[in-house]
Amino acid sequence: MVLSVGTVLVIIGAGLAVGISAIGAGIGVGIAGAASAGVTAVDPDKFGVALVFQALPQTQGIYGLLIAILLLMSTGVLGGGSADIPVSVGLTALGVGIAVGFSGLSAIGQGIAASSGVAVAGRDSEAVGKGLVFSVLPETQAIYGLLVAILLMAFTGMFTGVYTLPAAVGFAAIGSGLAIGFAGLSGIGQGITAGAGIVATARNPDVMGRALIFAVMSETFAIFGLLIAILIMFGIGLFGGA
Amino acid sequence: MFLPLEMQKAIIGVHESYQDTIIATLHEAGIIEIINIWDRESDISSTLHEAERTPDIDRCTEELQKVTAILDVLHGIHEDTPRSIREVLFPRPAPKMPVRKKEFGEICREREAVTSGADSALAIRKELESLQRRIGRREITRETAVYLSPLDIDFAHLGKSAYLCTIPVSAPLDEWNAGEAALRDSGMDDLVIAQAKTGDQCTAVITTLRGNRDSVQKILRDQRILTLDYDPMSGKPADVIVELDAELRTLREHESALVDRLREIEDLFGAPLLTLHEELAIEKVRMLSRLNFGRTDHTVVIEGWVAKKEARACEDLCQRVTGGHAFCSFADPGDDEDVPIVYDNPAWLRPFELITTMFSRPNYDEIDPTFFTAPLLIIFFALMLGDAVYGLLIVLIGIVLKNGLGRVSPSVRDMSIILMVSGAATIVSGILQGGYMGDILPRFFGIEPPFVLINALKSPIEFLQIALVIGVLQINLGLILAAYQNLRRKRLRFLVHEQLSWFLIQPGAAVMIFEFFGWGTPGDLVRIPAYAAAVIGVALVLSDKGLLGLFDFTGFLGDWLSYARLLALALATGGIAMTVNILTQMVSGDNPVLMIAAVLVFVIGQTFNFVLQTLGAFIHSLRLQFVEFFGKFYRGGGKEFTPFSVRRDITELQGGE
Repeated sequence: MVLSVGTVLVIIGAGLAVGISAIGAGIGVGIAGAASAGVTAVDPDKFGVALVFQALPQTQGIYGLLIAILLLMSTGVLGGGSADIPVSVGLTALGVGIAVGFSGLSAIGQGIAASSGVAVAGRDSEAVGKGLVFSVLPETQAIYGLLVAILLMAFTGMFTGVYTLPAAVGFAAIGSGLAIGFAGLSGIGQGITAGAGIVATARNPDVMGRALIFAVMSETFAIFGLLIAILIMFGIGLFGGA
Repeated sequence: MFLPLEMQKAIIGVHESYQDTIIATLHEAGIIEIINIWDRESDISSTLHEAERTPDIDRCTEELQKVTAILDVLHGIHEDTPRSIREVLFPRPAPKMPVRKKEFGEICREREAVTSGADSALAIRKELESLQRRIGRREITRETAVYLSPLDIDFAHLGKSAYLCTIPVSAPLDEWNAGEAALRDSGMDDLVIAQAKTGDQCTAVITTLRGNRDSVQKILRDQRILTLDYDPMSGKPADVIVELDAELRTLREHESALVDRLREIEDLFGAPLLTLHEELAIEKVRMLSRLNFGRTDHTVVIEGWVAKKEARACEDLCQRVTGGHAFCSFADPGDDEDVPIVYDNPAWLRPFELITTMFSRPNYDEIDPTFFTAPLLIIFFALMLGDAVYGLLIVLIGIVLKNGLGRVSPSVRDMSIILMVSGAATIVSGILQGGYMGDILPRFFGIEPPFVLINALKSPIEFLQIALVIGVLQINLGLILAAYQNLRRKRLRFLVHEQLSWFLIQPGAAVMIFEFFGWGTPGDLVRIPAYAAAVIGVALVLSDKGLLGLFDFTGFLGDWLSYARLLALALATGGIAMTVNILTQMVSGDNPVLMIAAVLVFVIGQTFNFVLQTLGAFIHSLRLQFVEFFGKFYRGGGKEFTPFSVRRDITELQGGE
């Protein structure tokens, strides 16, 4: 296999995707796991429910793994048939890795929300469903990260293997990745609000709708990031632009 | 179907001689939610006086306590844990005990007869607990004797004498050495009269003056040295062990005999006791219900909520059991009344009511979103999971639940129906997306899946476009429902600023997006009216909320883009399943060990993906309903209708009231 600069950059991008998102997922799962252990100690029958809540922040890690595998496969690093990967594609892969990796740190917020969810569900089995809905809110940032990553891969020809774009496009893709990646950290704030929303809803079930509104406010910043990421793609001619 | 059931406030009056009859009849019918006339200001309370608490309520409570005490003693005496997986998955509904209508006095006499035969259980339980405490003490003493076995010391020498105190201890060697040093350094006149080391453990006997006992024990505690406990005995440890073994055998035989006697009592009286317990609990509820009523000198007045369609049946029932000596009036609720909510959905839609309830019941006169949210929830779930094999597994799980636990639990039955419908939709979606445990067909069998319309991994942009179109449609459905509600309530200001504004903005926004991204160039005939309408819409939003209205635009955009999760979850399901398949391929080989490893990787990986993605698809689908859809038109907060109804778990009334 020829290890061109482009290929090496793709490999680094895959590493960023799975590595950084694993940090977020690891911390998130850890936070939820600590609460789960406490709840299970009080009531061992809650083990199953606690495990479900603890599994929620794993998703960001899975998105990271998914993108890493897709990067490695689509560029032939995995599965053979590696073509000569241009630098533009390598740089785009870096942007893809940054997008999914940093937005995966939203799992920390999801872990905070899930820990509230498991604590409330430990006392009241009927609160499980609402707790899950609140806990899933901070995953939106990771979903936006995944979306930008897929768009970048699609527009730069990684799914088709037709590479025609110049290196400058790759640098711009890194900008796109940074926009959605760092905006994804708003998921931590959202997780804090969602956790409080779970507690508030457990105290008064009728406030669920209003608590959800408080919790989704933090998503505004992720939308800003997504908007800029898409506008960058548009500006450099990837997204139907000039 | 689109609104909760219409309710009416009922006022029922009967002569006091019919009070118990009307209570029992309404209780068995379960069609009225009784209002406590005295909890709040009622229209009729000023003309009535409160019912007094009668002595039979306390008597009923006493009777119930007597039965409960014996049932507590007998609880768990028979092991009723399932013996096979089949019993866990397919539990049989317990047969119900037939009972006939009885007066309270008759129930009390039955209670007397049953408990006189069963109350020996109380004494047996007391004896059993004393025996079990004794067995526990003897087992501890035996354990101490085993520790002291290496030492030639008589148990009679342990404990306190006139001047001395002898304490047996045991500890790991290191801790014992530290403890022994601490005892020496303390300057007290204590003496280690015997010690033995077994491996890393040391057992010793310490003698000290009686006055030093507490100080020595403190040192031992500080050094984490275990003081051995025992019952007063005499003889060398080996003799004590033999003596205790014989005694323990006798005690356990006695314990077993007592448990057998309890089981005999349970066999004889368990069912009658449970039946009495339920009958007395029902009687108590009926007696307490009287405190909610109002009274005149000879009339009892009941106030409550009844479904409008049940009002006639309720009146007929009251007239029939009182021989026509009842008056009933029914009135539609006023504006400010806290009307209880009953869903009004057809049978096929009822399982999905739990989704709406999970968020919050609708208010009276508010749209019940179940009809709209049920199909969308299923479609989103199917799109996000998008795997035919996973869908089939979900259908199978649903079938097992419905025919198993679903037969004894209505909520499990509802959930099983949701699972079956979701699974079936996922099979269809999986076929259309070509997902069969990821790419198992082309990867392992070289077969290209037929009937594929779109695959998220191969055509992510097209899938995203579909997701966003679905988003626009659902958000607008929410706006239409909100507009309809505002129109019904004649809240025109809200209608104009919160719904009409968005209907005006969207065409202009669509034209702008098409032009901005170069997807098309609408002519002036479309562009100018669209932009003009959008400007009016923006003005309507900003005029209502000022600059804060700008957040409404980002909020709307966020709601719309949130539907991108349909693509993300579909990608994750297919992508992770594909990754598992690749890993399986990489691990597999001609070697049998590698083949087993490959099978393990495949089974564990696919199971993990199935569980996680099913959970994810369901929760994210719920989120789209609760946040993006409900947020447009639905508030909820309705109070559940809790009818005055008999809860018969183990009995069945024969012959009616």
